[in-house]
Amino acid sequence: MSAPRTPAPPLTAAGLTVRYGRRIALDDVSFGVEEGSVYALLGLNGAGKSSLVRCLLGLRRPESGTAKLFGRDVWSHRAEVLQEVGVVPEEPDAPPTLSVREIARFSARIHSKFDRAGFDQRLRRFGVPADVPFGRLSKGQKGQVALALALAPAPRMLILDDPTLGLDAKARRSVFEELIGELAERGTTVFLTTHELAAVEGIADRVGILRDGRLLIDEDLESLRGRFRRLRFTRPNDGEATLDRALADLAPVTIERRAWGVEAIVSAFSEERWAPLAGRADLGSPEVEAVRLEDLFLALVEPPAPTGASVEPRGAA
Amino acid sequence: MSAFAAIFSREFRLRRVLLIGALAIGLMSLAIPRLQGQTGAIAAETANAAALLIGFLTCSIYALILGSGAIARDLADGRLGFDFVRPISGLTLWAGRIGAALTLLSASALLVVGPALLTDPKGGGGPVWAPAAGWLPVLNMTGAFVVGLLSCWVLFFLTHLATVLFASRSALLGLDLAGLLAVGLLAGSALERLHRNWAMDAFGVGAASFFAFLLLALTGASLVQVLFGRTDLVRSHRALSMALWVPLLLGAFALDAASRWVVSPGLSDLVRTESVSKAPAGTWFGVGGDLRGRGALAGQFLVDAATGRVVRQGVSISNLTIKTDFSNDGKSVAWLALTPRGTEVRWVDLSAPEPRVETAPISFEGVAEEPSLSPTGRWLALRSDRRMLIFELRTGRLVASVPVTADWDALRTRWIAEDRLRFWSAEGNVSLGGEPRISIAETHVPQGPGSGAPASVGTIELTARGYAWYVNLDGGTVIVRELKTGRRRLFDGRTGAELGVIDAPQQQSGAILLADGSVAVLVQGPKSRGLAIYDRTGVLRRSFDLRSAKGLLFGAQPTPTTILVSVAAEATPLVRTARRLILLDLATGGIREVGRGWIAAFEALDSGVTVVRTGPATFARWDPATEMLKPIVPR
Repeated sequence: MSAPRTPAPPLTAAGLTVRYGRRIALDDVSFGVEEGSVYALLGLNGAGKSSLVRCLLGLRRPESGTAKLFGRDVWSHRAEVLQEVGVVPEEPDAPPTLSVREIARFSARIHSKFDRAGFDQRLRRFGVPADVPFGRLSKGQKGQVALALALAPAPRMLILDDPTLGLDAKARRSVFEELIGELAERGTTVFLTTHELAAVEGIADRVGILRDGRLLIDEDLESLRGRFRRLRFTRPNDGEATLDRALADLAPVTIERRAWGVEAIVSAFSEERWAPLAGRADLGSPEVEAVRLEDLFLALVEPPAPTGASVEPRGAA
Repeated sequence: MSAFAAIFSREFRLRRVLLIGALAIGLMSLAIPRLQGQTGAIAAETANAAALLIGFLTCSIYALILGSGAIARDLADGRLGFDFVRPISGLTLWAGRIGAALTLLSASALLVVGPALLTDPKGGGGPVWAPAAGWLPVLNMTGAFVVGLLSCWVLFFLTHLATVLFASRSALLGLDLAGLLAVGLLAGSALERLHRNWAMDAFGVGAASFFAFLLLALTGASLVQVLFGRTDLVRSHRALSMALWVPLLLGAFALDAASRWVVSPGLSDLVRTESVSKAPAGTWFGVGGDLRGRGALAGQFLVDAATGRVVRQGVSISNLTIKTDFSNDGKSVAWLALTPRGTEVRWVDLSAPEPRVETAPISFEGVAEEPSLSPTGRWLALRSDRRMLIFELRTGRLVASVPVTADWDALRTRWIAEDRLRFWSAEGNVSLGGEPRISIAETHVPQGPGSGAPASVGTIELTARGYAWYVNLDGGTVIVRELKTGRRRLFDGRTGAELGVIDAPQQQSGAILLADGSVAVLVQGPKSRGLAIYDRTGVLRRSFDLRSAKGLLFGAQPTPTTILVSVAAEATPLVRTARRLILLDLATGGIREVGRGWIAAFEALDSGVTVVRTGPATFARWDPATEMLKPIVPR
């Protein structure tokens, strides 16, 4: 009697490496996205996010490694696996002379499950005119059309490559509201890259952080929040060397000397490790507070941490 | 299929305005003859020509627009991702976009040419393209349309290719240019080789194949580019380059090899012998005819019957037979080679250990004909315009330039000594009834350029106005056949004095002088067939009855007392028919069959070597001692 087959995860990347000439854009990147979850890939410009997305969409063949959607290699089975995937590209790129209506008509012929009524409804909600050529829409409207097109076939998975890039605050909000609505309604799996860290913090289940083509972090957001903390020490009595030794177990990512004392972000916080430090008067009124995703991200991707500071990496579960 | 239809219709609709432009242009070409006041067939022909010309220009421009826009521009602008992030296979995407563009291009061509076609009373059946060069086909309206349209397809793909290559700004462009240069050089040299050897006609299929191959290679490369390059411009460039230059280079190498093969036939490539020429002495003979797999191209070879050595003289269009002339000593041979640069004199020193074709440094203006080598091969006489030019063969030095007045078909020349050339001139078209007189003159060499007229040495006075005539090899005897009576009259070749008359029947088909000066006449009448031997005074010495042979061809005189003739059961063209070889004994009158099969004896060589043809490209020596055929093995 054979074991029941486990459904293939919506997205897996294994050892992806991409080079442009001598420059390495992705270096042995591996991660996975579980069904119904939201995975946010973060990284500075040039970190390799777009290269990764291109591999995930079968637009580029990696030098090594594989990218799979629903268990199938994307490069080899791009057209088949994209039946289940809605894509919002970084730069909305529909033919500029076609009207939104004509683009919708074209998409409806491509996707058998294209929900034309839902598409029209979204456009109305966004306030995008249907008869205007795509090339004449504003950047925000183009992004909204792209999102509406991606959602209309009711995909099992959404891949969004920086969908709010260059949009104003209102358009950015509408994109994320639409996304949240989709998630609430259908539980669609989402993989997105973005610089909207605040917005991601509200919807992401898991976060990946790329720096210079390497995946520094691939972890559940809750777990990240649990182990990253901002610590403040006002005027430690015994000098900085003592503080550095005391922080070593907490794996500091950044340690900043300020006029009022020292501030550090640590990546291995736990109550057990913190308790001995909290009571030490020689460290000068230690305080602890939660770290926002944005601070965490900046702490990780900005120039290398000072001597003695390190990131405690966590791989995929 | 729905994805293909979706892409196809989207792309078609995006550029459908081109069709309206094409229709407007088509109607305009229809109006051109009306504006010039033409009507009827002339107006239709003008409209046809205008439609074809304007259609080709329009479609060329459309090919540039569509070639850059179908895929390449979206790829360069980063818009191809719109299709690629949808469930559309690369093949479907490519087929939809390219298919729509080519459909638009073809439909536009039809719209431009269509109105003229519809109003043409000949229904487009008349020739609209009759090129001066023989190798290009004469095209009617439909053929010209198809060729023009396919050319525009090629331009479309070339534009696509160029747009991708230049848009990528990759260092690969250097390799592309190197590939282009290599393909261009190979193909160019191959085509030049074919052109130089008049082989374009023969290679019409090959040229069409290369054109089709080019179209296929361009099409395939664009598909590979889309399948493997996808939205990455540099990778698209790489895929396109690999998919294009590898097959194109292979194709260019194949074209180069094929062109070499076409212009370098071997003796075994002869499929039909059309011409034979003999050396008066020695063991060499020339043979030419159609070649295997080379269309209308004919080959010409020199063969040494003694050793089997073969020298390829060259190739030419079948109807431009290379006329070969051997020197009397059999050690030199020269001929006129038609090249795109003009007529060149080629020659071979047959006495060399490894005879090879040389080009003589001889230059002349206009057309030259009738090359004739002096007995030792030192001098070469050529008729050019109204002068007989005499050159030193090896140096090209002009040693005499003698005016001649007779038309080319009314003039015969023979070298009667190393320094003396004799002319026989009959005025007008003798076969249709020219002046019944043949004047005989001689000139000496060298005299230098601008020599005076040849000195008159004799005249042949005739009574009949219509006649055919023949001068034997040494110029000693002239045989004139009166067309009306069939009589043959023999004259002294120098003085013109009459030697005798052969009152042979009308059915005589040919006469030749034998070694002892007697005349052998073939008789091919409805009641009698055979060979009659007359002495120089016209007295019948012997006749051979070959009544069973319907086709009869004089062969050779291997010994002073024997003659070989070939006979066929059917009176079909002489050199193409399967034959039997008959040996006639002049002394005893005996007749004996000595060979069977596809045999036509053709020449006797005065060295005692007689060659017979035993197949399309196989030859054998006749050995008078054993009366056996010994195959000549080419080497």
